[in-house]
Amino acid sequence: MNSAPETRPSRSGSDDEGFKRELVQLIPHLRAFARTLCGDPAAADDLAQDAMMKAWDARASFQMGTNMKAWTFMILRNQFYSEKRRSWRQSQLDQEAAERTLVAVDDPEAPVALDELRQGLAMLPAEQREALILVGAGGFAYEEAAEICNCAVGTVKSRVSRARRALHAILEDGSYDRDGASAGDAMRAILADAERLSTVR
Amino acid sequence: MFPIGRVFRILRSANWNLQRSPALNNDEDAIRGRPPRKRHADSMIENMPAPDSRKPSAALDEARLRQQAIGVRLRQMFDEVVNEEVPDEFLEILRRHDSKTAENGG
Repeated sequence: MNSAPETRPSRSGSDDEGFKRELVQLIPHLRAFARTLCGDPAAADDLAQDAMMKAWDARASFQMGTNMKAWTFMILRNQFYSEKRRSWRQSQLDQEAAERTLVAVDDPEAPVALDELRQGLAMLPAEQREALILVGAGGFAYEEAAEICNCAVGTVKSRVSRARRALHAILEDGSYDRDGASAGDAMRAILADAERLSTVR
Repeated sequence: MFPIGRVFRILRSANWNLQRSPALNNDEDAIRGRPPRKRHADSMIENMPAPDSRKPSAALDEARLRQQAIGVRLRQMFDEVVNEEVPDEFLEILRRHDSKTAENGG
């Protein structure tokens, strides 16, 4: 059926096509995850591209039908941390770029200002931040997040839980705030809104 | 400043993000004072200690609500990037790399 030497006898061209289609659909998610790790959008896209190519090169080791999103996120995360290990100085520069980005994204036209959340996230330890993002924003189950982060499920659960508490404390404390208003007031306003909503029905 | 009204408009808007609709439905229930139907992995209340032991259920509702507001924003921050148009660069790189490996393999 195929005259070419078969280096991967179990894979066919249609497998590759299917893999590629799925990989292309995951690009937006890889970019989003990379952005949360890098902060700087250009560095994040470089990371996402590297992860995409690594996933493509490793496609023979991927079992079709299993969770490709989790698999590619794991590749991206490994890539990020191996790059960080290679150059500590580079990661410090990344941090500076991330801080500049936090200021740069202050867009009054954004549908909802997210600055305080970004700044709050930046204050969390890296392992708590990534666990919270995978479960709270990426839509992964604890089990999948554990696989991506190469740790126990219980570890992910406790990291997510600690991250939620810490983020809540940071936001309520208002240490992120820059316009003089108290974030504690903002949280009280949320509760007032909720009370009103529950009586309106 | 916390744009409270907008956060709540998002919480109430069931079609804000179709993929998230189950979680948002739970959020809506909590806002309206109903008990949550199902513990989702996204549930932002998990393991939250009740800050006020005198009124455990009210304190729990408060904590849940606060975590939900944060949860909505967290997903929004992520989805903001997901919904960006993917730079052409990505597909070009994949196409270039693809033809290169095809030459090697064939």
